[in-house]
Amino acid sequence: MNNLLSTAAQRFYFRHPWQLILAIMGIALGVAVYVGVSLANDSARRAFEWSSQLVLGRTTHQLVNAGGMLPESIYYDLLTRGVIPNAAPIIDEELRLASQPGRRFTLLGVDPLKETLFRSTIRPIPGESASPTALMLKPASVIVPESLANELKLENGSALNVIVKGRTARVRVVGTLKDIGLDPNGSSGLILADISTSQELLNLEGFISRIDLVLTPTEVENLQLLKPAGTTLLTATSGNAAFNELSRAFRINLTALSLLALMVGVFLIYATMSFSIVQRRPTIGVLRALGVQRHELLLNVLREAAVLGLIATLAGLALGHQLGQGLVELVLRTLGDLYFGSYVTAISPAISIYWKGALLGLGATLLAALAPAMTAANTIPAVAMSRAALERSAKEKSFFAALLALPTITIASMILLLGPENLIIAFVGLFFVLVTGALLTPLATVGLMKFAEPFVEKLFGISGSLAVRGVTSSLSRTGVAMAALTVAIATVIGVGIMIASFRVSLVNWLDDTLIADLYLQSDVQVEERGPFTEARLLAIQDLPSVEGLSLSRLRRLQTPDGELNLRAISPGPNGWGLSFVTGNAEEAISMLESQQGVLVSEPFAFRRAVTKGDLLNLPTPNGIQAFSILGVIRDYYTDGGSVTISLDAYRHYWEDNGLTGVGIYFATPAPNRSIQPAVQSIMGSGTRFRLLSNGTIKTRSLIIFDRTFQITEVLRILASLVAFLGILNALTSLQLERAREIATLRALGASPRQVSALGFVQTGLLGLAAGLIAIPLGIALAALLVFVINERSFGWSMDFVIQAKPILLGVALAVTAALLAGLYPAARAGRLNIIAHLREE
Amino acid sequence: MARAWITIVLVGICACTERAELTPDDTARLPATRFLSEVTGNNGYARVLYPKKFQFPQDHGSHPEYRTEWWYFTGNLEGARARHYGFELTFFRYALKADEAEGTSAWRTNQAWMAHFALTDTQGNKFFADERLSREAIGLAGNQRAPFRVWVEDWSATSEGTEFLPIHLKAGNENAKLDLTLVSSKPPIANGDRGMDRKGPGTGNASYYYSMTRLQTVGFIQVGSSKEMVSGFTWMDREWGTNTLSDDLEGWDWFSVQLSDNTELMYYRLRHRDGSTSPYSGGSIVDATGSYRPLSADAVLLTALDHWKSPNSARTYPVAWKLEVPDEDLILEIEPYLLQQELNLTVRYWEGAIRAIGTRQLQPVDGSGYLELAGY
Amino acid sequence: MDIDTPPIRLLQVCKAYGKTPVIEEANFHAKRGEFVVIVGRSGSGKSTLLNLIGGLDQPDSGEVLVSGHSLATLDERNLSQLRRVHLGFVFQFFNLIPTLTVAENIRLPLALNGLSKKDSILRTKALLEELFLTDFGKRFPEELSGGEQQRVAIARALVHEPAIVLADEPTGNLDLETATNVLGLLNDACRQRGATLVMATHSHEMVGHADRVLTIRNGCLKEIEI
Repeated sequence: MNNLLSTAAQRFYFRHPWQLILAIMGIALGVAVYVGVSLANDSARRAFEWSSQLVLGRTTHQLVNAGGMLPESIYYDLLTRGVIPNAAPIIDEELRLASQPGRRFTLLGVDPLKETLFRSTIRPIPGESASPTALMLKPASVIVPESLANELKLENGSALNVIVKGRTARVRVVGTLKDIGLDPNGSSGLILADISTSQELLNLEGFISRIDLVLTPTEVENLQLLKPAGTTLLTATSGNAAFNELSRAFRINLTALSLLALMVGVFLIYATMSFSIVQRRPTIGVLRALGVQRHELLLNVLREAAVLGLIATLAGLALGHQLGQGLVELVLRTLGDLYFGSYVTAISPAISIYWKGALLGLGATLLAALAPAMTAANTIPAVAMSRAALERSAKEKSFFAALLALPTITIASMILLLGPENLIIAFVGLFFVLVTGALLTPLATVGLMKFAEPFVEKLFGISGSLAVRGVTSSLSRTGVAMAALTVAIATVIGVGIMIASFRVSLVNWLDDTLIADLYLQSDVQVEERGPFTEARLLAIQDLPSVEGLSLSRLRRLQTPDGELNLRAISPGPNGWGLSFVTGNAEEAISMLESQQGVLVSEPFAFRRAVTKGDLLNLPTPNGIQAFSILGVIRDYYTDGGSVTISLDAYRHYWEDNGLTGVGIYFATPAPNRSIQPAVQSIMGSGTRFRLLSNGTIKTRSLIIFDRTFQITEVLRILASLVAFLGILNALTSLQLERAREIATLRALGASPRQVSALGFVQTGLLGLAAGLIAIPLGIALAALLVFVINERSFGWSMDFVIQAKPILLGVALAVTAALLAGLYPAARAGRLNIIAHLREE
Repeated sequence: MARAWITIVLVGICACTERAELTPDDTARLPATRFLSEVTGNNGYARVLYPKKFQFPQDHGSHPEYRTEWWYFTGNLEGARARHYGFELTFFRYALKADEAEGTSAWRTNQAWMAHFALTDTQGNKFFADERLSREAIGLAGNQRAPFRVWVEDWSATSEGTEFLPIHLKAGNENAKLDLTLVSSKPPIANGDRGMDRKGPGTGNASYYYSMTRLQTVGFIQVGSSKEMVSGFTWMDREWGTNTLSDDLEGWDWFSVQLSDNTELMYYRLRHRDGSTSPYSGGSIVDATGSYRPLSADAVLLTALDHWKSPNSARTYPVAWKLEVPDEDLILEIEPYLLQQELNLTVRYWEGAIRAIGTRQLQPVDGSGYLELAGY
Repeated sequence: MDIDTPPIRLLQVCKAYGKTPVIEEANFHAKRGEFVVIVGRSGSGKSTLLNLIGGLDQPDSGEVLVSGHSLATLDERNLSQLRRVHLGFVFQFFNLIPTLTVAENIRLPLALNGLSKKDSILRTKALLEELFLTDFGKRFPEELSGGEQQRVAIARALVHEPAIVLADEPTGNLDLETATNVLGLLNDACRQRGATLVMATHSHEMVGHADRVLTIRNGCLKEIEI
């Protein structure tokens, strides 16, 4: 009996090869999207962990100097006094290749004798090429990543021109660095040198950046007591706590997108399976009448689902793997742009993701098959529902689904309004909103169709209302696919609005803050005036048509709570160029000018849970100093958090006259052409600085912004693709089910073109409905993303700008997807075998 | 004696090879082959080619023109109620190249240093071992002639005045510490052929080698939080050279014994890869007055009596021996105070306090000393 | 169309499904306003004959002429055009569009023929009355009994005043009384309009009302004298 049942199932798919292909494609794509995005996500996490492990190794603590560099005598003192045995001197500095200044590396100066204890991850390739003796003995020797050596065809002894601290230097390759532990490409961002080499290259004789430590709890206590004044002991992770938090936020965003893909994928699998079962409802009814047991039927359906699921899942895993490769690159590039100074490349994937993907594919397929199979198995032929009955119940079902939306929206609001301010919670709330949207979709469709019918009828006559009613009556078939499409489109619209809002806010912020006409930026952090000598600044000031200069000093500051960016500003003629979120701008600025406090950036305020009026402790060379927070300002430049102070106050407390940037203000709009060469010639050729116009900075900022959101774009397309498949599936099923109707129309004299057109109008309406319903849902989603998710993950607030473009794009996408999906079913409708379908009941 | 291998290990460390991945063979072979490869040219280093008359205090100080050099203190001490301790404190200097490094950074140097510290608490059944590695830069490690001082970070041997003795030894970590003063001694002995100790057939396969065989020692030992006053005898080995070892060696067993009749004995057996004893093995024997004579390879008969397999490294060491010097009619049975005296440091080897019991001309004699087992 | 042109002509029409001949060399013509009944057992080829006349199926050889048009010369579009103007169909299973009301179902052919909504509503109303369906106009087909549904189907087949009505076992799904009733209505309506009615049936109930009766047996189409 069972064999016969399987045979029947097999023949079904033989006769409907498209059905089989669609089912497999649907499941495979669902699995692929989940696997692909998870892979990207996992890579991001591992890349982050890996790069921090690479640099930190077994380091438990780091001793840094609040004022900047650490005198090497501190290292000598601590070691020879026996305070800390396991210590390694480190100098780290950004390094760029002279040939490709866009690529950043970390020049890590170490003492190779100390490295076994600290960074077993940093392991030169054994053999003469990586002679550590050469590294220690020969000036300017470095060990480069093997990948870089291969790329630039560097051999032992090759010279390499690099830029460090704004100067060009020539280093010599004495070996290559290979990561044996995890991945051959893991450390492509690290260039290793002896500590002496680093000092010489960076003109840092006598100083180191920090001391890496492996400490026992007792040693921590001892060191806290004995460490020299001005130094700060950080736990090795705390310096990166902000980074951790950030990458977590980034990853949660990614996870959410992958879950969304998953949701749409499950929708798709469900639609696919349930359709293939529903289509055989008559057969199943007959089988039941013939005495086939319920469980036999169920078992058979499940077996069929298992086979289908298995094939499709395998295909999905392969596809997902490919997809993952592409996404990983995008994710890492985003991470690189956002968070890392160095470029971290591919990481070998975690095998568990594939297992989860497989489980998802098989599980969802089985579950999706189970529900319709049970309904079908319960059906007794005598009461087998006519299509009309089914269609009537579709309306009832839409009401029922809409009723279900009531509890889900309640849950969503409760979670979002009353729940703890937590990112994960926010995402849970967001998903409930989406589910609510999905549940309301069928009823909304019914309403929309009722509203649209007179117009459509006017346009297309009775075949128009036929199309409209087809949409409503077919909801029992198309409801799930419609909901999937709606959710997908809502996501497209929501993310689109969010990005557009963000972009507008960024542009506004850039306009507010980039108030100088030209910017001179030093490539690196400099302790001294660097390229910005007094004489040069005076000369620039004296140029005709220069009204004034603003000065700034940007530096990283290690605090016990993590690293922060300290920005000291001496304003130019157009004011401070600050965009206030909280605090009275005038009052705050006048206090700032009188050195009475600091401003903090929004992410900083969010992360440290501080606000206007609070005191902020900052380490200065003369110990911890409390600053009152005068206000919170918008800062999209860094999401690690920044603190703004007046340059005078900074010089007073930190005893540092260094400058990293100079803003040049024109008296009257002067042509950049004439003034730029003048500034260039004043600055001279021997120094490293960048001269950028206001416009260039804006353009570059937006380019980076757009790149950052590229991954989001890709996921939107994926979601749409899944939704498209869902619709295609639903329409194919619809077309098959309504064959008799179409045959009747053809017999009544409707031409093939007319019935095709009817199908098209219908799919168009479906798409349009999904698109229209997606608009409010998408706006709600965008609001959640802007006001809840982004604030909770980055601490950034932004203007909420509902632009027409993302909405129109979303609706267009929905209609296009539906019409594309309708192409094949409509064509089939035209070629339908009329006789065969006229006679069936 | 020939503990040159340890200094060679520095090369291994510099190569940043992780210790967990070093198989026993690697430790024994990598340094030896590297050593040999550099025998052909001496790369500008001075070599040990002729006997030498040691000049003190100058020769206590370092000889940076040679590739390797060490100060090697081992001793057996007694605390209250005859509580026994053994200790090892060693300072190794290794030149990365013959001439000085150039550069403006104070970290630029051609000399690297390593120190090992081990403490055996026999009654407590505890063994502590630790190491320090630093370069000879910004004062982290080095040697100073007057007053004499050799140090690596916080571990040091420092003379009180312009004379070598008395000298303070200070080393340890959170768990165990020593603070000892070596007060007086028999005069130094020149090992081998008037201080030149040949260890292989090749030119320069030799070291300058002198020992101070019985240094009266007093001071403090601290294990955990309990500090104890101790006294006893220390042995100091001083050795330097370039390309000291020949290539065909697998390892060595080094014995030093301070006997109750106020005599001392030192013997090292160099083992070939095939297990045979190298003819360049040898030692010295010192009588109660301080007179000494060298021992040739065949003057001493060694029989392993017992082995111990380390649970940490799974290596098996011959830790108990019968040592016979037929010329002297001396028969000693040697056993370790503790079995677990394996140093689990950058390189693993076994070096520990030993007790000796036997007869000299049929008269009972006993004593303590140190045994080093390398290349297992 | 010439008034003398017979609405339906079959010349030497052959049709086989695979190797099984269904209709062999059938020759037949129907006059205007004639009521022709084709009887035969299930599977004898009655429906095939109707399908050939309705242009839903093509003969293997021979010629089918409907209102003077040789169907073989018409493309799919013109065939559709022909069906929507000259033909009306009544099916065994009614084949009403479930999502359209009774009135809309009836109006459908008019809509396909591009008649204005106003006119078509008027004509629909008249037909509803004629077939005693006045109260059912706004109902959906599923709410109607079988006989009522088939009356709707008849109305739909006649509303555009076709020259030919093809009825394939129109009473196959109805009880005897209802069947008689429905057939009476169909016959009357066709005669009133002068439409040629060709009906395939396996029962002989209608034979008495027919102008001509044909049988199909083993592929042979024969006229039975009454």
